[in-house]
Amino acid sequence: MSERDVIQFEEIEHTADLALHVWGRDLAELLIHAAQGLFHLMRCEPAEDATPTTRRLSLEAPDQETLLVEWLNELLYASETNHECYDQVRVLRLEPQAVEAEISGYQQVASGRSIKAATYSNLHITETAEGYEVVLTFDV
Amino acid sequence: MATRTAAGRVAKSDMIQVEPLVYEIPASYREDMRVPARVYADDYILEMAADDNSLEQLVNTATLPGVVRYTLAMPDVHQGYGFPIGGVAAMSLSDGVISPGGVGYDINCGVRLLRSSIEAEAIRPYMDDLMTALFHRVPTGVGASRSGKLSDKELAELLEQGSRWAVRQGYGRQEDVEHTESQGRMEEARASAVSQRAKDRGADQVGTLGSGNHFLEIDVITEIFDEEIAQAYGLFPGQVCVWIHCGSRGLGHQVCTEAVRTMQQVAAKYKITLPDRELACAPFNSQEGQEYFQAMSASANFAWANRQVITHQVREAFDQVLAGHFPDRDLHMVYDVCHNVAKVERHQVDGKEMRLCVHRKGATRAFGPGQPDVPEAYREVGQPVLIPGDMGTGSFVLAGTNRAMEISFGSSCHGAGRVMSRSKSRRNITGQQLRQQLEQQHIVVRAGSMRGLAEEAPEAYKDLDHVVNVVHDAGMARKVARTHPLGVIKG
Repeated sequence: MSERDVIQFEEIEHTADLALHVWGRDLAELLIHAAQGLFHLMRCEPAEDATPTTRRLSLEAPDQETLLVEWLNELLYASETNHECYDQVRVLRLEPQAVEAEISGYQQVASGRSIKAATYSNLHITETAEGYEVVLTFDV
Repeated sequence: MATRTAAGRVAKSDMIQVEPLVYEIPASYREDMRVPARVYADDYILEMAADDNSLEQLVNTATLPGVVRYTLAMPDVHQGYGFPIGGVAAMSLSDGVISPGGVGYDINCGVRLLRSSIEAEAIRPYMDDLMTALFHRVPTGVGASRSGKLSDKELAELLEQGSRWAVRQGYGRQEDVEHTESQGRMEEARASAVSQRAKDRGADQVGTLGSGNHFLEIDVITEIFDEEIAQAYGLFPGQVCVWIHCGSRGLGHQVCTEAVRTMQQVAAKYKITLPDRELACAPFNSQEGQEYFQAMSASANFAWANRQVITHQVREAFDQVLAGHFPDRDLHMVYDVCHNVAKVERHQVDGKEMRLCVHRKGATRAFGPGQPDVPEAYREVGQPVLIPGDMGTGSFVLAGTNRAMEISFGSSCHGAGRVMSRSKSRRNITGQQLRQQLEQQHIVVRAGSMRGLAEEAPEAYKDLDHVVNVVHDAGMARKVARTHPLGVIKG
């Protein structure tokens, strides 16, 4: 499984915070597109000479929805504590309750916008004819 | 995990008007409600509340185990995560729960007001330099960090000592601590209850302002509503004062994120049915409940230490720029309040004194005259209630009342919520246009992000006058003063 070229997320209006509608043909794509949506919301703008970086993330969760939110919060944590921004995601292994992935981006970059957390608000991963979709809400 | 999603929107017809500004959703409205839910509102505010899910969220809070009397929505109520923002709920300590959704992701997001002896007209020639000095001294914006992380030992001390840590490090004085809610320290804090990840997120963020709706402002007192109380608070018309609005930064956000996850996983163990995953909770006396409370208290201390360090940086900026022009350029604390916290307090419930865990999510404590937790200097008039507003409307200082003790567990509103999404606000006005508009009103602006500034335009927020008038007319808190900005720093 690898990152896709086609962007499959959309920012939707939210009065107080930020929200994303995300689609994917399978769960791995849903995770990748959600991550891409998060990076888009974070507004990272690395300098031309910024140092590239790659990290491995792995996490477990009791269900798919928790996995999705935990995945996004893991990305936020990595970004904030390392002062890094990411723009590429590769899912290396995905099980119903676990994911391992490689994220790539740049060091010494602050995102353009601070996000406190991905929330569980109205969280339902829905199966459609094309795959999966979900609406995610972020506290800013 | 057993969850049941709440269905249907609360309509005005579901509510009973129990007093002119008080609407009650009876416990019979939904089967799982344990107590009624009350909204402090006039017609305008009620209409806005019906526009989002805030009333449904309020109903959900009334289902929590151990909840007493009624849950409350302040007049600035709007949709949040778990609790609505502007939500207050008190749980019996012996058999009630504690919920991170009743506190918020930004634990002890709060506000501090400093006063000077300087008049606004006298300071105007120095505003540009002063704002530049502040912008350089106070790390602001996304990723703002101090040079050098705190060591594990220093951070642990800070987490357990709060404002007192900062004062001991030379970032302030004893009178600052005395004029802070809870004296800037919740004693239940345990550094060991805060995860290493939360500490990692926060270790280099002490003394930083952050971004979003956080701000540092130099304001002028434009209106005094109550001269006696204003005098007790040291406020006078035309006075220069400083607002600091920020919270516990990444440390608090991480503590909340982890607690929401942990508590969802143990809901079944404690036979708790959650109408909303963000309302995850655990019995106050359980291991998970206590761990969260201790970590939350530590995060609150972090926020107080943060605002104390920023206070010191502000004093240094004033000193640097105004030396030689103003013999007295000192800044004294008026007060510092939390807007997002859970506190153990004693309140009268049906004629009996009870120990309660009072959750205030986007709500401010508003203790009245005679209350022992009010600083001695203010005990005759009640604690200051600080309500930050947008750059157009300005901000308010109110005073807590004993009526608040009777009707709202000593609580009041905290501000006005948004009416416009961030993207709509940016379509409405650019950061540059907004800065120009503000500068035409003689307001000096320093912003870390023009897009961020546009998102915080005054039009994006509800009418704070309305909210404050409901609070005042309901007797929850008394209007004392209003301020308007001379200079604004946004991350």
